[in-house]
Order: sequence, then structure tokens, then C-alpha cells
Amino acid sequence: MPVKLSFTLNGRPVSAEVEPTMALLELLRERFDLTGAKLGCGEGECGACAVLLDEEAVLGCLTPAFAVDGRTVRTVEGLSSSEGLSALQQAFVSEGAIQCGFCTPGMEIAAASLLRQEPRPTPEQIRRGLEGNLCRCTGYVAMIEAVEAVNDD
Amino acid sequence: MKGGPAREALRAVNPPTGYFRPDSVADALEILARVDQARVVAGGTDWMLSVRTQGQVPAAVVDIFRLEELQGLIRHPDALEIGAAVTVARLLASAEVARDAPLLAQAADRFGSPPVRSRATIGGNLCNASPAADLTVALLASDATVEVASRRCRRSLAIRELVLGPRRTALASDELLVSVRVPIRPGAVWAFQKSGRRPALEISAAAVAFSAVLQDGHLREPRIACGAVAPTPMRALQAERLIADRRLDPSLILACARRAAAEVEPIDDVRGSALYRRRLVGAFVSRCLEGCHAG
Amino acid sequence: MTTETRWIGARVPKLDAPAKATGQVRYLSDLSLPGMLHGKIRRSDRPHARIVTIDIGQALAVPGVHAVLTARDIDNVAFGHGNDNNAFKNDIVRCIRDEIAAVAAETEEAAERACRAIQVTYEDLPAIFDPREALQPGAPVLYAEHPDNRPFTYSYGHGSIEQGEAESAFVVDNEFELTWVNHCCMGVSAILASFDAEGRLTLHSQTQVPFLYRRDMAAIVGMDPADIRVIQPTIGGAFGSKLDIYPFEPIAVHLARATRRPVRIVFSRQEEFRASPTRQPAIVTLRTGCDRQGRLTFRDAHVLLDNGGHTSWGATIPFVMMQTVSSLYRVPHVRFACDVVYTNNPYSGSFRGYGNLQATFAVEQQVDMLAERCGLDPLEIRRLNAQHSGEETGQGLVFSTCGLKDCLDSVARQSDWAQARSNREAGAKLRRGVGVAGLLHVGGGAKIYRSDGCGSILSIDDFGKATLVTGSSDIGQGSETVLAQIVAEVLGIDIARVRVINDDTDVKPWDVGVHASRTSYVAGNSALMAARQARDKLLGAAARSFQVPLEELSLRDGSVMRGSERLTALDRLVRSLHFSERAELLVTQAYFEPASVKQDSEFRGNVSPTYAFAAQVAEVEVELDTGVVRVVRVSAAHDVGKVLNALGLEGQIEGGIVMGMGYALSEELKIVQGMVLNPSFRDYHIPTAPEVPEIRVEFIETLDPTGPFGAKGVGEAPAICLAAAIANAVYHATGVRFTRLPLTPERVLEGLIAAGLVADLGASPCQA
Ligand SMILES: Cc1cc2nc3c(=O)[nH]c(=O)nc-3n(C[C@H](O)[C@H](O)[C@H](O)COP(=O)(O)OP(=O)(O)OC[C@H]3O[C@@H](n4cnc5c(N)ncnc54)[C@H](O)[C@@H]3O)c2cc1C
Ligand code: FES
Ligand code: FES
Repeated sequence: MPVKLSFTLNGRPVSAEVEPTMALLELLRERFDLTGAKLGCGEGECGACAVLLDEEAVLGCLTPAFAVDGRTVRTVEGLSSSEGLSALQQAFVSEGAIQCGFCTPGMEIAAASLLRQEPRPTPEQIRRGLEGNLCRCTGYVAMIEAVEAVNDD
Repeated sequence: MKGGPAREALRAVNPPTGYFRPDSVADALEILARVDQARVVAGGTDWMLSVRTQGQVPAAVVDIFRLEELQGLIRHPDALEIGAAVTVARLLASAEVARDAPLLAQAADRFGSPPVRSRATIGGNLCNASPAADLTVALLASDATVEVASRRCRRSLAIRELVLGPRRTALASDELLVSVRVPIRPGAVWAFQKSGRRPALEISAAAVAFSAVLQDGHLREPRIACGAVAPTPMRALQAERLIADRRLDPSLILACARRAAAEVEPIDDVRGSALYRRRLVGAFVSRCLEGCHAG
Repeated sequence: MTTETRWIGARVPKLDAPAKATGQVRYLSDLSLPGMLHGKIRRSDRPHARIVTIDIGQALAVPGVHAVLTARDIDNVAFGHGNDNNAFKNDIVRCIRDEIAAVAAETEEAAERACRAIQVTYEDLPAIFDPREALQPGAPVLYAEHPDNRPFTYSYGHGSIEQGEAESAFVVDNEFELTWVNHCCMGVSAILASFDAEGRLTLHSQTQVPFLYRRDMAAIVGMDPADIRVIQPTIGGAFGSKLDIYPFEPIAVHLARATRRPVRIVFSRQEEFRASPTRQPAIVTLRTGCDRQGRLTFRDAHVLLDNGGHTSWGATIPFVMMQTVSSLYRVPHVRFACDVVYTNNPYSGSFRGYGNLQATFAVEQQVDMLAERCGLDPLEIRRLNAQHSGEETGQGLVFSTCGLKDCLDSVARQSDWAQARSNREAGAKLRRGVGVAGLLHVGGGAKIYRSDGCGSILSIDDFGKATLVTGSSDIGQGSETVLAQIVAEVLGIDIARVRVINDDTDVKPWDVGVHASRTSYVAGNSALMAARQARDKLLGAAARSFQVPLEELSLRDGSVMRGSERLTALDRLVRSLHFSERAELLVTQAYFEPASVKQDSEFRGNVSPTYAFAAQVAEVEVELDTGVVRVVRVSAAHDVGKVLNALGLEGQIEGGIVMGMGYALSEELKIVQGMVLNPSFRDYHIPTAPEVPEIRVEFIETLDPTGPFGAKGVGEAPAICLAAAIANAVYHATGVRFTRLPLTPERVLEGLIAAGLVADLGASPCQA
């Protein structure tokens, strides 16, 4: 028996029918062609699949798709607007926080979630805020600086 | 071009046929009583993984994550009552928890990562019955009890009575864990220690939670709970007895640490050898005791 | 050389960063084609066995399955550096990653289910899991052609070890053990193969060597290389892992051919841990001597490399290991021998640093041991033995520029070395320590093929936009941006007006590929040549049309300038060429071949036109009761020749340092009886953000005479020496030497207990 869902996706009302075991990540990538969130491990360990559920970061690979019914989902594609990159994204670009970029969507989601809870995080809070997101390229330094740069503005 | 991830990792072979999202505990219990092989799902952080890796797909899913009655964080005069669906993120953000259930707060701080904590629930941690469940270890040292309900009855269990073995609890298939009661311990000292270089995102190779009341230098009712060193989180009762009602000194701390290390029953696995786990228990117990010795 | 630069040396964000920041970039696992099928591979369950039967009947019956292939269905051409690999294994599996069959189906689930439904029966064969055992007489033999299990040996020497020993006042002798490490690219291995109506093959591939790949793939799947087009979508990290062809790639081609549909294979993370190449495990036995003053006298190294069940580039890392043994610091007498042996473990490929992490871990710890023996400070002994610019080493490496001493001075300053060395106690259960290590690596490619060159085609269109088509590839390291900077600099235009095309073999000219830290140097020089030709053409045309002396002209801000006078806009000038009676296009092409040489049969010769040097200081804290080691601060100094892009360079160095820290502290594939026990990030820990130390980086600019604007390549360098620096720091903190990586808490605590530094709380109370 498929589950019927209605939710807000990147500002737009949408609906879908899913199996109860479907992961949110699959719903977003397969049904809505939003490939920004990545499958990095499927085990909750890398954060590449993170999206915002009611503005709080969750893992797309471990969150059942049914969990979004009636709620608001924002993916990396929904962070920027028609005016261009968000301040956070711009900071990621200009601080050199992006190399291969595979971790970037999840990392930005984690940072956005942190900044909502803690608009002026300390470097220590930023590190802890990003602890669920793996990056193999950058060594995280530039990302931490990017999040700091956002709250400098 | 259209996209798609490596889905094989994301999907069960035979999906369940039923999905329920009850609005009340009573409804939830009704469903659990009636629907054969219905499975409670809270945050799903353990459940989604088991669906994928072990192909354990239930006939029906009972989604309790948003059930209002399970969201409470209530301060009673003698205890903090925590709803089963309260997330680790909420535990971490709560001033009551920090004040009245500090072990839980410390365990929550070292738990998973922010996006895991925003879904993982306290009830799920208990019911998943992992030997390494950090909140369960903290609750064990806090002498917490749980409220369990079914259409048949309501009962209260100690943690030790709830968690029976790896992935095994005392819950019957129609029972729901409703809340956790953490007794408030005025004047108590607390410490939580967990293995690993990282602050979090680490499954414990060993964890120790400690609590006692310090009365003119003597430790009253000390509780030492250890995780990941036995089939279930366990109390190091012999070690507790060694220090109960005594004044700590370095040689007693050492003896207690050794005793705890000796009485746990760890196994070798990829996260550490049994010997290393014993060593960690010893180190953590001695840290916990030194902390309250010094403080 | 230009004195004032606009783009060179600036902090230029990567050109593709905005597309990545918004999630628009599509990686291979985000791509699909109409009618595409999903491929899945059935791998061996046994480390060494004869395949008795394969039954695909049930697999074929799974709904949605289009093809199930095994060795019998294809022309199973052998490939790989040892010619010992096949797409499917014919009759014997030699490690658990070995491919037995593959399925193409309409969904990944169907493919997965069909794979599981393939019935394989085996007859187990005696297996080898310890490389030492492989060399024992009577050991099981993996390949009849190699009855001694030793497909490759290397031996190199200069000077005389006997003489070196005679000149030595102190000699240290240790065995170091290094283990398997996974690249952990965040984007897993993947490929998409499709044939067009005329039978031409298009591969969307992650390869970092597209031209060699095309050639090798053609041989494996029986095609004309000219009929293969390789498209390289953005990739989620490589670090060397995509330097070879692995069986899943020809398998995708065979599946696409059999089904006449596009086929995509994407690994799961588990599969990535089990079945992608690793860093080579090594047992390094090393002796080093020095005289009473601390001058190194000799190094005598033997390396035993576990090749696993098949051969990939991991077998060739002795090339790099021997350079460090022979030439990191001045060593008059050197002997290096290496045996590469088959075992039934997973096999290894190339990985950023290419053997140098293993060699440097051994070499740089012994430098510290000798310093202690002759009473020198670790920095002092290194300064004493570091080479100067212009020196040639015993192996024939010519250090046109050498900033090693400057690097050592810089890290001493940055880390406040003397102060840090004198401050070890940090609490009853905490010790502090500080350690240093240096490194040497090729800095401009390595001539291991006949050519180490790179082609470029540069065109400027009539709007003044420059398009550089480069043979080189960008694997996330940011070479695209550096090449654009070079072009923008020479042509005096904004970097936004430069586009770099580097992802399609149907368009781009030849290049060897991304390896050996060569892209900035080789592709940079190639782009520089093409850009200079374009500049000369433009200025020549301007000189003619404005009747002014060529020497007075320059390009700046999109214009042709005569001193500070703006003569014309670049686009107008280009248009005037296009539309003049000369009808000239502004297209230039260049091919740059570095002045390095292929080494002779005794491994002598200047294999790279320039070399990169660095020193890193690690400050650590050691928890005595748990064995946890934390890196608090890393001070690094890198001889980069010249900074081309400070932002990109910092990112490379920080990323490398953190990768090196993972290698030192936690990364280890636990392989027992050929099985990978920890195939997930849950139990294989790469560093996370909270673990990252404070990192200070200083660039040493030695201005290499042959590098583009003086630059050297540094892509690999930052990961190389940190493990040695950390091990030296742990020794400083605790007095215990660790010769085996990684320094897991368990291993460290074991060492501390064995050394009597802390009580064993885990020993049973009766014994204690
Ligand atoms: C990346 C990652 C990191 C993690 N880190 C940690 C960690 O550091 N420490 C730790 O202890 N755990 C950790 N976990 C495990 C997991 O997150 C916790 O066990 C979590 O608390 C489970 O809660 P949940 O709500 O997600 O449970 P679910 O997955 O929803 O349920 C788990 C089990 O409990 C049952 N259940 C849930 N709620 C109830 C209820 N109210 N009544 C009856 N049965 C119920 C379900 O049927 C299921 O069998 C981690 C997991 C991941 C993926
Ligand atoms: S894919 Fe979800 S955490 Fe890795
Ligand atoms: S930029 Fe490559 S993984 Fe983070």
C-alpha cells in the first residue's frame, strides 16, 4: 500500500506516492530529479545526502520518505534564489571550500541548519556542526572559514 | 539526462503493505494489537539501516515520530519524564535535561552527528537494544525506568528489565514504549566517558556512565554503567560495591577501575579487542572517579 | 619574467565552484541516458578458489534482467601492468573482489537481485595472506608463470654500503609496517558505457588518464581506439584511484554491447571499500647510518610489497620509494631492494604520494633516531643534511631549485620549535610532543612513458573570449582554474573571459593524464606556450595596423596598450584579423614536453624536470590512559616554486595534511583471511571537522627556471610526510617509537603499557 504524501519542496507544493521503506533521498533524486543531495554511503555516516526538513538538517538516506508528509523540505537546489547564490554558498565559493564538490551540497545544508540554530557560531561550534559531513578533499579548514565568513557579514 | 543514485542501497526488496500514522497513543496501541507484524518506527535511523542491510521488512509500519503524546519533557518533583519520541537533538537543547539528567545530556553530546540527532529518538535507542547504545548506558546509570503500554496493560520496567540482549527487548509485539522516567538525584556527581578521538560520530568501543551522591566525602549508591562491553549495557556491580560508602583515594580508584575492567564481558570485533575494551573501562572508571574526587 | 601579475598568485575561486555550490553539477551517479540499464557485478566470496560451476539460470529469470555475462560470453583479454587481470575471472578467483559475472537490468534492484541469484560453486585452494609467507619455499602458488610468487623485483644502489657502514658512528635498524588504505573518494567508482548506431563507444568515465585509458580499453574490448570517445564528467575525487583500468569498466562495455543499451555501473560504498584499489601495504626494513657529526652515511632498504591477487599500479611504487631512500637529504651510499609478491588479499593501485608516504614514514623516523643518538636537535640534523639548489643526487635527480632548508627554517619559526620541544607534560594523563619531517617528491611529472607531454589549443573568438582546450584533466584539484589564470595573465583579460575545455577526448589534444603532480607544471607550461603565441600574434597584428614598434606594446585589461595608452580593444583586433584580407583566425596550439628523462635500467636519471620539497611540524597530545593521539597543530612549509593560485594551493595543502593525518591515526582496512572486515565509514574512519588541527602554511617560492611563472607541482606533496612527523611527535611525547601505522588508540595504549609508562588496567586483578 503506497503512502500518499503532500509536502512543500523548495517552496513549491508537491505530492507523491511512495513505498513505506523508500528513503527521502531516493524520493528527491528519482521522482523530483533533484540530484544535488548525493548518496555517499547510505549508512548515515557521510552527510552527503543531507537536506533540510523544516529547516533542520536530516539525512536523506536514513529518513523515511513518509516523514516529510505535510512538512517543508529544502535541498541544496533550494538554497539559492533567482538572484543567485546565497551568502553561505557565496562564502563556500570565495573561501575555497569547494574542491571536487561532492560533499558540498550536504555540507551547505549542515551549515545552513547550524546557522539557523546558532546565527553566530564559534569556530568550535562550526566544527561540531559539520561533524556529520565527510570531505576527502579540503581538510575542512576552508569550510569552517566559509561558515565564519557568513556570520561576519 | 535524468538522474538516479545507486538505489540498491536504498530500497527494500518487498515493501511493507501497511503504513499507519496514528494521532494518539491509544490509536497506536490499537494498530499494534490488530495488525499482524506491525513495526513501530520512530526516527528510523536504526530501522532504515536494518531494512537495507538485513532486508527485515515488516508487514506494516506504525510511524510514531510526530505523535504528540510522545513528545513530552516534563519536570516532576522527583523525576524528569521524557517522551519516547523525543529526539537526541531536543535532549541536547534542553536546559532541564542538562540540569536534571546530565548523563543524558553528555551522552547526547557525543551521539551520532547533528543530522542523526535530529531524527534519532530516546525510545528508539532503548528499543533497538544495541550493546553500544549510549543513551541506554546513561539511563542505566541514572536508574531510569520506562513506561510501556499496550491495549492490554501499562507497565513500568527498569532498563535492565527492558533490554535483554543484542537487538532483544522485553516488549511484546503489541507494546509501545511511551516514556522514560529519569529520577532526579540532588547532590549527585555525574560523568560520561566514551571511546574515540572524535567528539561524536563514533560507535562506542566502550562507554562508561557514572553517578553517585557525594556525602561528606563518601560515595553513596554509586552506579557504574558500561556500554559495548557485554551483550547489553551493564552495571559493574562489583566495582560499585568496592567504593560504596567509602572515601575515594588513589588506590581505591585504581582497585575499582581494575574491578570494573575485570567484570565486564567484552568481545573482539573491528572496533576493538576485548582486552582494549577492558582497558578503556578501567581508564573511564578511573576518570569518572578522579573527576568527583577532585571536584 | 613578469614582475607584476594580475591573476598569477591571486586567490582565485575555482571556476566551477558556483555550479558545485548550487548542486547543479552532475556527477556520474547523477547521469543517465534514455534506455539506460543498470549493471551490477557478482564478485567472489572466496579469497582463493577454483570456480567449479556458475549457474545463471535463476538470475536470467529475474524480471527486468537483460543480460547476465560471465567469462564464457566474452573475449576475455588479459590486462593490467602485470597482464594478470581479466574483466571476468575464467576459472580461478584470487581475491574477494574478483569479478565472476555481471548483470544488466532495468533497475538497480533487479540487477542486484539477479546477482545474488547467480549460483557459484567453488573448490577452495590454499591461500596466502601474509606477504612473508608468499616467499617461503612450498608456499601456495598464485600464478604458474610466477612459481616464486614474485612478479616484480627492484634493485637500486649508489656508492657502497660497506663503505657507508665503515664511515658510520651510529646505525639504526628497524622494520616499519604500513597497511591498506582506501582512497575514500566521496564519489564512488562509476562508469556509463553506450554505443551509437555505427558501433562507436562513448564512455562517461572517471579516468584521470583519458588517452591511455582509451588505448587500453580498446585493446581489452577489441575495438579501434579511434572509435572510443571518453567524456569525463565532474568527479567526486580521485587521488590516484582512477589511474588504471579496473574490471568493472570493460564489464560495463561488454554489458552495453550485449544489450545494445547504455549501461551504467555505480558502486555501493561497501563495494568501494572492498573492490576499489588501495594504498599499497608495505613492510620496510631500513638501516640508516650517520657519522659523529650527524652527517648521513648510508641507507639500506628492503621493501616487501603485498601485491594482492592481481597487479595494478601499486606494484610500481618502488620507483617513488627509492627516490626518497636515495635522495631525501644527502646520502652518499644507498641500497634499495624490493620484492613485490602475490597474495590472496585485495590489490592496490596508485594513491596520492605513490609509495612516498610509506618510504618517508620509515626514512624520517630514522633521521630522528639518529639525531637522538648523536645528540642533535631533529631540525639541526635535517638542516645539516639538506641539499642546496643545483645539487644532483646519487640517483641522478637534479634539484634545479631546492627549498628544503628554507622549509625547515620556516616550520621552526611557525611552530616556535624550541619552545614546543621543551614542553611535554600537560597533565597526569596527557603528554604533548612535537615532531618534524621533510619530504621530496617529483614536481613536474615523471617520465615513465616515452612522452610526459601535454597539448593545448587556444582560440580567441571575435568577442575577445579565450577558449583553452587542454589535454589535461581536472579531478577536483582545480587545475582548470590555474590554466585559466595563466591564459588570462598572458592575454591581459579577465578570467571570466577564459573558458577551459578538458573533458572530451574527441576534442582535446594528447596528454598523459593526472599523476605525478604534473598538471600545473606540464599542462601549465603547455597553456603558457599557447597563450604566448596568441599574445605574439595579437601584438604583431597590432604593431602592423598601428604602425608602432612591437616592443612598446602589451596586453592589459582586454586591450592592446602602448605604455599607458589604449590602442584598441582585444575583440576588435581579433575581428579585424578575421575579417581582413589575411582572414586569420586567432588559434594557437602548443605541445609541451618536459626536459626530464626516462630512467635507465638501473633507475638512474633525472625523471622529473623539477622537485617539490616540504617540511611539516606536528604538535600532538597523547592521552596516556586511552592511547588517543590528537594532532593539535600542523605547521607546514612547501617549496611550490611559485604560487599560482594561493586559494587553491592552500586547499590542496590543507586537504593533503588532513588526509595524511587520517593515514597516521586511523585509516586502515582491516583485512583478515583476505576479507575486508570494515567496509564502511562507520568502522573506517577518515578525519572529520572537529579533529582537524590548526594548520599553518607558508609557501616557499624558489622560482623554478622551467616552471610556468616558476611554479612546481604540489598536488601530492602535502599528504606525504605528516605520518612521520606525527610518529616523531608521539615519540617526543612518550618516548615510545611506533613503527606501524595507523596509530590507533588501541595500538598506542599497547605500546605505552609495554613501555611501562602506564599501568595495565585491563590485566586481570589476580595478575596485577
Ligand atoms: C550515523 C549513525 C550514528 C549513530 N550514532 C549513535 C551513537 O553515537 N550512539 C548511539 O547510541 N546510537 C547511535 N546510532 C544509532 C541510532 O541512531 C540510535 O539507536 C537511535 O536512538 C535510534 O532511534 P530512532 O528513533 O531512529 O529508532 P528507529 O530506527 O525508529 O527504531 C529503532 C528500533 O526501536 C523500535 N522502536 C522505536 N521506538 C519505539 C517505541 N517507542 N516503542 C517500541 N519500539 C520502538 C523500532 O521498532 C526499531 O526496532 C547511530 C546511528 C547512525 C545511523
Ligand atoms: S549517504 Fe546518507 S549519510 Fe552518507
Ligand atoms: S570537496 Fe571533495 S569531498 Fe569535499
